[in-house]
Amino acid sequence: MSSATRSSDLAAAPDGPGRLSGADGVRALACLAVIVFHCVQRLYPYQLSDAAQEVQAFILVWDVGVSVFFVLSGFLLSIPFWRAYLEGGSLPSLREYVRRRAARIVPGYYAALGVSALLALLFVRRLEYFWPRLLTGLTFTSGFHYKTLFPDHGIDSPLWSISFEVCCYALLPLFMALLFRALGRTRSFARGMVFWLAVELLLFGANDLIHRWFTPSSIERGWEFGLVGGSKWWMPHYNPVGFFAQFAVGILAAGVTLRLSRPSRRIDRFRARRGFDAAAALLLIAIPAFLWCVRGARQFSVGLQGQPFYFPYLTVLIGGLLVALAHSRSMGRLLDNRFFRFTARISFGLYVWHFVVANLVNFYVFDHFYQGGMRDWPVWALASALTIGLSYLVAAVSWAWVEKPVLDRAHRARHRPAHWRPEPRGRMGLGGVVNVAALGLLAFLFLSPLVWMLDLSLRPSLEVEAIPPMMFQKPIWQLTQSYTRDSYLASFLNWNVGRALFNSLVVTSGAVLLTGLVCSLCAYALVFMRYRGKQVFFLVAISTMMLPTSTLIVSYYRVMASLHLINSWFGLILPAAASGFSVFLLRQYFIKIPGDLIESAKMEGASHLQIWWHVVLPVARPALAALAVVQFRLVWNDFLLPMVVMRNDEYMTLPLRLASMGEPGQMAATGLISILLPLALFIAFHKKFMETLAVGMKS
Amino acid sequence: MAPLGILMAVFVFLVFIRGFLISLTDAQGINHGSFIGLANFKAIAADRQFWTAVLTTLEFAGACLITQLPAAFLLASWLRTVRSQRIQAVLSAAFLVPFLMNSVVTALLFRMLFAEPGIVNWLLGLLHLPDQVRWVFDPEVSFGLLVGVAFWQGIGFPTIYFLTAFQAIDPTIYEAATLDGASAPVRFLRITVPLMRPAVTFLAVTSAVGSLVVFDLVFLLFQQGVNDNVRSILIYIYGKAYFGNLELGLGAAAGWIAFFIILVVSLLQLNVLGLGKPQEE
Repeated sequence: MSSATRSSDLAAAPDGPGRLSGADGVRALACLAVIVFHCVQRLYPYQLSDAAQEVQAFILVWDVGVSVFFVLSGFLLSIPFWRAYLEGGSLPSLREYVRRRAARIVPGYYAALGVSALLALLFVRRLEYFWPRLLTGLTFTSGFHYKTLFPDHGIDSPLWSISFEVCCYALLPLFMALLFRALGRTRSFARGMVFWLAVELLLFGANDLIHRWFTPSSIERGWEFGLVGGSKWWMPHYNPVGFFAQFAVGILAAGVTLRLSRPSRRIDRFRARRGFDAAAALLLIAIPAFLWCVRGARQFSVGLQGQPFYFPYLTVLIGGLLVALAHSRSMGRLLDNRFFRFTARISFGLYVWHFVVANLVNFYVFDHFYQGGMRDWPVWALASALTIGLSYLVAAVSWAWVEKPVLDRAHRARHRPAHWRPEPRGRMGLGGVVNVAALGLLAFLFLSPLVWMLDLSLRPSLEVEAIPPMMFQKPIWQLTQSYTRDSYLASFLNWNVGRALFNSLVVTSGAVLLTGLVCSLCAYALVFMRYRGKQVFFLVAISTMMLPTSTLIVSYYRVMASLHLINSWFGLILPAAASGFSVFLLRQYFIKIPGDLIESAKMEGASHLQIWWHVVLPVARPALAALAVVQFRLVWNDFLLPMVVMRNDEYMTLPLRLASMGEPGQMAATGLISILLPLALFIAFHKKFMETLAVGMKS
Repeated sequence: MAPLGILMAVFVFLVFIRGFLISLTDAQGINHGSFIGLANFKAIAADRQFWTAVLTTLEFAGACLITQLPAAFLLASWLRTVRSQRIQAVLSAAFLVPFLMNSVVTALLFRMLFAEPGIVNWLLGLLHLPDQVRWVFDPEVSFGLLVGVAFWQGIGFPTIYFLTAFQAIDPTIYEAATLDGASAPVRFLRITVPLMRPAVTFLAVTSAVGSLVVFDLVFLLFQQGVNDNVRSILIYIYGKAYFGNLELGLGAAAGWIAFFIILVVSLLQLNVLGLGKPQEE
């Protein structure tokens, strides 16, 4: 679950130094295993053929992907410590370690936790332990009690493992510090190994004590009693100490890997004869074979001390695989193929989002896509394919917009020169402060209707229409006393706002994408190609900007009907793309692209389409961002055209849905929901939007 | 270019021509009707309510223009005095929030605020002002309400635009003027205002094009209580085509006339404001 650590120049990795060969492949395999596991779980077993039931039972142990993540994390994170230890260096910087871990997992995890808490508020009728779960979830301590083990209320189950993972992150440097302190004088590989084996033994003891002292009562214990019952069933088996034992196997494997990379004729010969490749291949067969053998075994029955994921047998096999792959000549390269590398890069996102996606697919598309609910396997296959595809999409977005920016920032912070200081700021005198305060007050007054709307959306329906408003009836500290989520629940459950949100999302993103595509092609042709009638077409295209086409709604309906676009998403997507303004905006930007760039691409034999995609679009990013903001706002907020085109309840977009609701509290709730996305988009693209505005102004 | 050409052909020109064809029929509801020549156009031209709607729309667009642009200009000038870029960005973004919201939320929100036993009337009562105002239904005040709501919704964009335009002015011009002994008001009038002209033109045209086709705001703010003072052209067309007798032919004809009226108004505006060619670079 952690990022590949830039650690090693031992085994030559496919894309140069800095990566342990095979690590990405293993990570991708583990991640896919967990996703497939969660999909197969939703298939109803007893109508399948016997052979298919066996296969299902086999896949139902693939949750061991989680165990792979733990071993892999231990493996990768301990390498800098091991290297420092073996080379006689001092303990690596802990501050750096903490910063890196935090940058890696906090953004994605908080986003997933926030979304699942929000969805729980909206969809779960009976919420248990909401605040404790949120609080422990935020502090990575949810794994310490069965009431909070699932901080997600069943909406994003995989989140349970994160608190264990973070616990391992904390224990690793602790024990490593002990190793450096206690055994730091005379160091050797053997001493290090003995130390970590001793740690493993200690963990065995501790685990035993945990089972003895902390086994939850057997009252309402088991998955049939819901989440808390399920956690009680898992809980003494799943515990922070036990998972650190799995993590530590990875640490041991890392030690062995480094030891093997010391120059030695025997090992080199072994490597040259592809001994490590053979070992890796063998383990890659042995692990599924092992899983095939334990399929259908009672949970926690195979393994020491009732530990999960067949510890230590499977765990050791995984550790061995990592060692063998790191020294292999071609197996690692084979596993680190392009697709697996991509999967590994977004694996954290895939891991934390796929379960939410599956649940949303269940809620909005396939009714029976819950655990053991799918009786029809082709439908199940469709639902699973949709889930996996959407998960990749969400994870890629999460990587690009949530995880990577934070990682980059953390990386930059590390590489700043030592004397770096924040830029000096102009001091604000008293007058400046008063000025800002006055403007702030004005802005607050300006936005106060929205504050009132927020208050309204949280009031129980009895208080909504009170005059004077409840906001002013009570002292300020009692304002929130009667707040409830009823309005939000009602709008999602009674008014199907979720469906409207979905429609709006599909229509708007479709329109934005199509506009970007079509209009940039057109602008490209207008700027970089020569043909007759160009000027005329340009004038016609931009003059449509001035045409008040919305006066023609009557014939809009007729045209749409004859194209069979009534009650169809495309009925809103296609007309939006016929946007003269977008062509104009992009053209203005394209003109500024130096002609040499295009000429040199032509010299290299690139076709117009290639130049458009590879040269022009990347350069024109700010303009495309501005276009996205403008189009998004336009389509997302449009009312008249959807009213004409979407005649069916099921296809209503958010503004239509909003206009059809009567109750003030629910309208306020839905209204706020409809504002959020354009606002977020604007904040995200604020800078590029302003840049383009400034560029447009100069022309 | 070809795909856009097709989309435009279908969704702009085909719609336009189809509109004309429908307007020549007496189509009603699902009935496609038969050819009746220019009777619909005559009927619309003779309908007093149509011309009232045109007038109302023009008044509304004018009112938006003279309230929003100067206010936005002043607000932007004020925001410019904030030294810290970050605080300035946050504050200006705050004024942009209503612009990003959809008019449906805005309209419904203000409908609730200005309801008859509502929060605004209650506040007026606290100040010992008339507190029984029927904002939404009283023709005397509803036009003001509409302009006010449009103001709230619309001021953010011109403000940001002006602010960006201010920043595009070369600061050395000011320095030179200061050295020449020009006082602050003189600098403002002689440098800032003239340099803002293109921005003003752009905003005036876009704002007018937007407010001439106002629909959702009126439709949802007044709902069944639309009166002559706030009935915009689009509301008129929609009412003809989709309410009462569902006279699609009439609606299409009104749409066609309105199309040209609005087009002429915006083109006139372009010319008057001294931008002969539409935004050639």
